[in-house]
Amino acid sequence: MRKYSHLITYLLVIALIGLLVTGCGSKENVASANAPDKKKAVAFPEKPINFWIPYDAGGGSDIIGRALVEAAQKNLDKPIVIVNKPGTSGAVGLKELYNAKNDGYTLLTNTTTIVTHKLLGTIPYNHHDYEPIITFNYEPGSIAVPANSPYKDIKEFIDYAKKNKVKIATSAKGGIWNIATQAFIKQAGINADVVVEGGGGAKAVVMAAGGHVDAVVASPLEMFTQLKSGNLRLLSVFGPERVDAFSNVPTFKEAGYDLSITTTRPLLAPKGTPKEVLDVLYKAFKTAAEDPKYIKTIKDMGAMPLLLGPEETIKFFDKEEKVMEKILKESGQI
Amino acid sequence: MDTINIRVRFKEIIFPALFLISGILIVITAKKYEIGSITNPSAGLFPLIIGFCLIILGLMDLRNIIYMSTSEAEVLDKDTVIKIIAVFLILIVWPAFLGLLGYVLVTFIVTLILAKLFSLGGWIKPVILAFGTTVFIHLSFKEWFYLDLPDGQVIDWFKFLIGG
Amino acid sequence: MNGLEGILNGFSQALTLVNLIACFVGVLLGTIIGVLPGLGPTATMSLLLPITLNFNEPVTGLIMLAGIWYGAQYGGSTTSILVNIPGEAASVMTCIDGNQMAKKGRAGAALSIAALASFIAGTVGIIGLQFFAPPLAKAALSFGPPEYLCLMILAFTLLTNLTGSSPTKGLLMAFVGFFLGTIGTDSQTGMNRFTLGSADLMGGIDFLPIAMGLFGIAEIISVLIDKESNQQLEKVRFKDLFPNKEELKRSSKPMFRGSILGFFIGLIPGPGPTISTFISYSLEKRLSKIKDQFGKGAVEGVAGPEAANNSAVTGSLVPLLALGIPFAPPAALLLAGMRMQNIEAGPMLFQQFPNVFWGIVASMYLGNIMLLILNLPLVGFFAKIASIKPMFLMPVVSILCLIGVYSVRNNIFDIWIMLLAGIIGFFLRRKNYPVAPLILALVLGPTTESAFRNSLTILNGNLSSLFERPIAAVLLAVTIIYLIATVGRKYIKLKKLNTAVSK
Repeated sequence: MRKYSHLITYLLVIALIGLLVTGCGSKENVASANAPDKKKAVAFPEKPINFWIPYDAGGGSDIIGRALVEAAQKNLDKPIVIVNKPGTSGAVGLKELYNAKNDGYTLLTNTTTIVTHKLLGTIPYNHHDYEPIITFNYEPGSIAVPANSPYKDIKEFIDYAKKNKVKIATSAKGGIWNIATQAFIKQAGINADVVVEGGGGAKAVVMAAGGHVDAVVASPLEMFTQLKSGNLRLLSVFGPERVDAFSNVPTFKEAGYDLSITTTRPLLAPKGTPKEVLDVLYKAFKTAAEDPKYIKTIKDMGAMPLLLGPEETIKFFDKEEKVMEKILKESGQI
Repeated sequence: MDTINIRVRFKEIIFPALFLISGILIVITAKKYEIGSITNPSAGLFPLIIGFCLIILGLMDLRNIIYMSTSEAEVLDKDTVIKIIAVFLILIVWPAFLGLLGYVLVTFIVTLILAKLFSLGGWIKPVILAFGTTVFIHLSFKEWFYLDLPDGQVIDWFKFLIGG
Repeated sequence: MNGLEGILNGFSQALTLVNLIACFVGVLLGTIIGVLPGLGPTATMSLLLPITLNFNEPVTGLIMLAGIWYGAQYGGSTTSILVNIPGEAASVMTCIDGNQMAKKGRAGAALSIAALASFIAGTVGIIGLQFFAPPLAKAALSFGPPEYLCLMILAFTLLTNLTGSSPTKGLLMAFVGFFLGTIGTDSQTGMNRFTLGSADLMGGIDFLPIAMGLFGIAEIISVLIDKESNQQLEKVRFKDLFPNKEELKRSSKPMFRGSILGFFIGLIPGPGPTISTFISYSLEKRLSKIKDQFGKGAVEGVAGPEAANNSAVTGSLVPLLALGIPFAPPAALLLAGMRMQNIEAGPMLFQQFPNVFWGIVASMYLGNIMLLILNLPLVGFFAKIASIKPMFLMPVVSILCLIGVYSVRNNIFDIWIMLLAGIIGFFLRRKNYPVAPLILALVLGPTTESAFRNSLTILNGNLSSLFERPIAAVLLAVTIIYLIATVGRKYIKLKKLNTAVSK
């Protein structure tokens, strides 16, 4: 009996420590409790909202997603809890969201892979199978080489790669940068092996920074530190315009090629989420995406802001689906 | 005497035989995935190697067991076997009824029965233990770490009954 | 800013009240989540990251996040020692001897040694971080897929010698682990492998359900079988809580060796803390004069790996801070925390944000002292848990296993995997198959496969050109020497035995 009473005491002590720490830690709860009680038609949110990021922590989607959540938190009364659900370039998260409860407490950010997964046959869903809330950012693909490589611009690299076999590192098959790499190889007509690393572009960037491959295709955001610290040199950007953080680097179009691949990030809720709930979320996240601090944060990291509403998002990805289909067909990926 | 020996031996070789068969199955399945070329290896190559290694190691293990004397683990008596099976069945209750009963009820029930199975005497002690555990789980995992534990459909029925 | 000026400046920051509190909250949270199975530093850091952005000084939040991370390494060994359940991959090795020590009534000693080892390793790691970060970071980059592949070959060669039973059985279990690691969607091609059409298996088999099943559930069953353990253990006397002189003496060298080994392994990509623990364990076993004690409660088997996994965490801060490259999920979260405050990790960190770098370094010195002060009294508390009768302890442990596994991915499927692994683990144990290699291979499998495939591409399919790369060649040479030595020793032993017999 004595031993036994010890156990209970210990459990209670641990629980108490937990409570204390919660009390100290959850600043947001206190702040939100004091928020003025607006008369709302719908009582939402009544509990924490889960914000799924279907990629590894620290990757592009993760950092941008967290920046958005940080800005949106002010507009919602309950905490937004970020959960990383990496796997198969976001397909695992998309699949889980498809089966998630459509009460608005589960949201997921994604990339342009929302259209390419269905085209490639990874999962049978695309943007029409979810409720888009907003689109909040885009990033172009880009190609960089280790800093000690001889090539000064994209032309020199392509000339070299036409005569010699090169190794290009990028994200896993089905990922947007993998598609971009295949399309780039086809467009430029070069001879290359693709070295693939799972889990976003980050690992591929490390391989290139260490000089183990000849080039890497990822977003400027994912390469940012290595570009700034002089381990990598950015050759070209696969977007419609130059990136603010690297405005001296020309686009691939400027170099005379017809290829533009960007990744665009929508925020999605499961199909059938009530309209009133979606409205609350739209307002909260729209204000967040317009927040100058959010815009500055992501621009400084090498990403680009973009703001589209639900209908515009659907239209945007309808168009993007056609573009990607063309790219995938031309480079022989489907 | 000989038959007993063979039976013991049979129990001994179950695992190596299992590894051997798994190895063969893995090799067969891996061949269906693309092996790829040596410069561009694909999804099948690594499992293929694993499969072959399992076959080789399984055979080596089999040989070791047949040629070397092995110490047999102590034989379990019937009561212990029944108890082990019972504990497993109770552990299965937790995941199986989590969605229906909710984490509070299911944690309480499972802890209570487990305490009895581990021969904790009386009813007051097991109930307090189960209660303490449930409170601890609720505070630490639900309140503190926002773990998404199901409240259970029972709660919904209850709310429906009281007209909530 | 030179080193001395830097560290003094760092301490002037870390010693402000708010930063001291942040550091304490971080390490306290870290210790708690380290003890609780399932919850890891990644989930907690992710949860607290938004809060850390609201402090006035960016360094405050980062001090707290880092505290959670290295604090979790202190707590990680507790469940391994007390109830033979590894809460994370890096404490699998601690189970082997740590739990044996607990069964002999030396739980307090094992816990104290683990805390002490963590403290020494943490401090050694910070010294390395403080003085050598930039040059070491460059070295970390030269570790590409071929080098990683060679390290894995070396690591798994050592693994065969790891546990008491036959090398064949150990290797067999390692390959089963590798196989389990391939289940799910292939990270490179997106192809589904061995998923049997199950959507749950597509996400792969996580480490924790297997570890909890093979260790935790199997332990619960073995308590049922072992009737004698239901007897009250000897009362733990105060002096039993701490290691005796002999234990301290035996563990001092393993601690330092583990610290240095762990720090260097932490520098390279992949799950450094995990790799470092079993390299340290096999190193200690090799160097020890009492090899047969390993697996039966050798204190070296706790001190070495526990030191290694802690300094590996500090080591992985080097590529993180000096290059902006996160090699582990918690590092990625720390990086996310920095980037969201527009602090760019990498070479510019030392010039642009010296306060941040030195502030974190100084806070880690303080944090490690706090952890030691926090953990030593806890030893008494935890050691008492080890002496609680199984009839009280086991139901609680069972529930913690269930909920801990569920908490990782919010997935009931993982619980089924755990229970299945529990049944199989029970039979494997009875047939003397070591389960630790299986778990380690499961954790390291995906990175090994990736390194293997990428090496083939990078080397144009010619693995013999591994010898043209200096680091890879050295690692392979060590492997070959080790193999020759092991086989040679066996041969000599056999010969001696034969001559003895013939005489």
